[in-house]
Amino acid sequence: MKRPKAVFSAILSDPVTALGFVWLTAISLTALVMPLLPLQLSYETDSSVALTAPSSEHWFGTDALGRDLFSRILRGTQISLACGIAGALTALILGVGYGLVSGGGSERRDHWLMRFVDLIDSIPLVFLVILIASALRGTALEASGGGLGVFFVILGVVYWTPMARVVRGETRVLARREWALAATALGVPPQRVLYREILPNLVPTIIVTITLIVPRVLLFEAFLSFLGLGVQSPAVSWGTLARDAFEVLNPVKTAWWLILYPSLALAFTLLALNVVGDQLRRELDPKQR
Amino acid sequence: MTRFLLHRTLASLVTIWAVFTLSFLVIRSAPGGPFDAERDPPAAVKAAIEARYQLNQPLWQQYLDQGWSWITLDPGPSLRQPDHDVATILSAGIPASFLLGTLALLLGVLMGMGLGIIAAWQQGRWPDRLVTIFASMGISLPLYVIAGLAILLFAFHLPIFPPAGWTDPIAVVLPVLCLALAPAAQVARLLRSGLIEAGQEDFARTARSKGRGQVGTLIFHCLRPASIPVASTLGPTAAAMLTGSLVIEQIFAIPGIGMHFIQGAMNRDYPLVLGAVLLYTILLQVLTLLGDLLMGWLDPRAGVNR
Repeated sequence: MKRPKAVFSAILSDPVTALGFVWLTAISLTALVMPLLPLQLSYETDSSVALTAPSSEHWFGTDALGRDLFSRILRGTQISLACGIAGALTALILGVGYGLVSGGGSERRDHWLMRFVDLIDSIPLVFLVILIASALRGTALEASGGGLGVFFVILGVVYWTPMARVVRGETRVLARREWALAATALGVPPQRVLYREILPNLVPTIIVTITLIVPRVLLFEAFLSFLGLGVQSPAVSWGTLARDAFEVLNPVKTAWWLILYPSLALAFTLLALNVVGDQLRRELDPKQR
Repeated sequence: MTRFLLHRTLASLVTIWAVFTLSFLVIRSAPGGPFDAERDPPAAVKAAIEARYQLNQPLWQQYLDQGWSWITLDPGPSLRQPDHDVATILSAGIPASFLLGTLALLLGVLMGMGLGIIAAWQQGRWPDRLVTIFASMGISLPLYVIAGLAILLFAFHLPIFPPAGWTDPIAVVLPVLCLALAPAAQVARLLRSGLIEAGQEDFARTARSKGRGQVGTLIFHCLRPASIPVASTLGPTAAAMLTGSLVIEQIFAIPGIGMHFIQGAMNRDYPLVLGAVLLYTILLQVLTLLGDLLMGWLDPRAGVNR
């Protein structure tokens, strides 16, 4: 595996990738220091300034209830990023665990565990998730704020199978390497070989897969929230902001800023994730060296 | 061939059964029910309602009854619109969704093929770069962003198309274009790399040395092998388009299945949602099978005929 420093300088050497990296760092930092910023405006409604265009006072304009769009986008950044990270983490834990158990076990166990993954993959999970989201709507769990947590987990559950497949495949390849066989021949128990010898060598593969999963989780969060089945008011994400925008969309008074700015925030983040992810893959993917 | 079809059909049936079972479990384990009101109705009324929808029977009995009613295509009335059958509601949405999906898929594949050929032909020059940028945008941007910007530009800023509706033929243009963009980008990207790879093979060199031009070689000799990866992703592409159609139907107010599905999900009309999920699952299975058959035709080594 390449040193983190070498990977880092490879990311910064290409201007487009560097720009993407700067964008991702900036929004992550903003999301982290959000609670310290004076942004109480985002929940305050003020009908006298409802649907005003961007100005020096409201940089991105205001929404139908007179709330400052700029601070709402910043709030949305927090939840959208949290969704992406939490969903990817869930996928990571489920996928790596399942992949190791399947790839490191007997042929028969591997066969049946993989048939189960095939079955899961043939199910259009997106539609099932919409069903689950509708079942969760308005329940006590959601009212207590746990809904968001459940939502994070759902996002991860949808995307764990690619991780499981990749980890399982790599595990099987690595288990046949001389050093793994040597460890077994020396009498190291199979579990220990799996966790102490094979798992550390899976790290580049896992990072590469994660870079593919995070944008997909973000997109899925935006998709569900846009349909009104994801993040629920008063919480905001980029998806709910776009949903609000389409609700007040009409040709007489075009509140274009309500659509444009939340869309751009998501679009820039996805493009940045893609270019940075591509670079990471080029640097880390064991198959490309 | 027969064996392949049989095997695939069986696998599809297992998937559909799994979807039905999972959906049934989700619905039954969901706290609260569709008949919960602000104030609980008297116990006798509640019991009567539950008896009407067979909610008072043991769970396995309900499971079997439900399963049978779907097999016989008679899922019974919707919970929120008791005067309407679930089957009627869904079939009323099919024409709009079918038209939207078919047109978008056709347009997407055709556009993607055209762009892919141009990009491979002009490899490294500006048309290639443009197509590559278009492809990465089309793949990474969420559909509502594309549709939102398209409405702002082509419905409000330049009033060419209506921003919503489905009755005018011209109203069909914008939603179909938006939905076609993602598959077009996907096809263009895959076809471009496939064509470039096939263009370096011996048979392509032979074709060129016989006097076939650059474009002729690409279209008549390289297109078939380069289409194999495209056909293999028809299933996932179709799945992405089905989810995309939910967003598009919502934005452009198109009276399709997606609208009923989202409506049903919002107000917990379980039979309606379950019906839509099953419909989407079956459609997806059929499209994936078509993709595999297409792949077998393009590449006889793929093992479909064995």
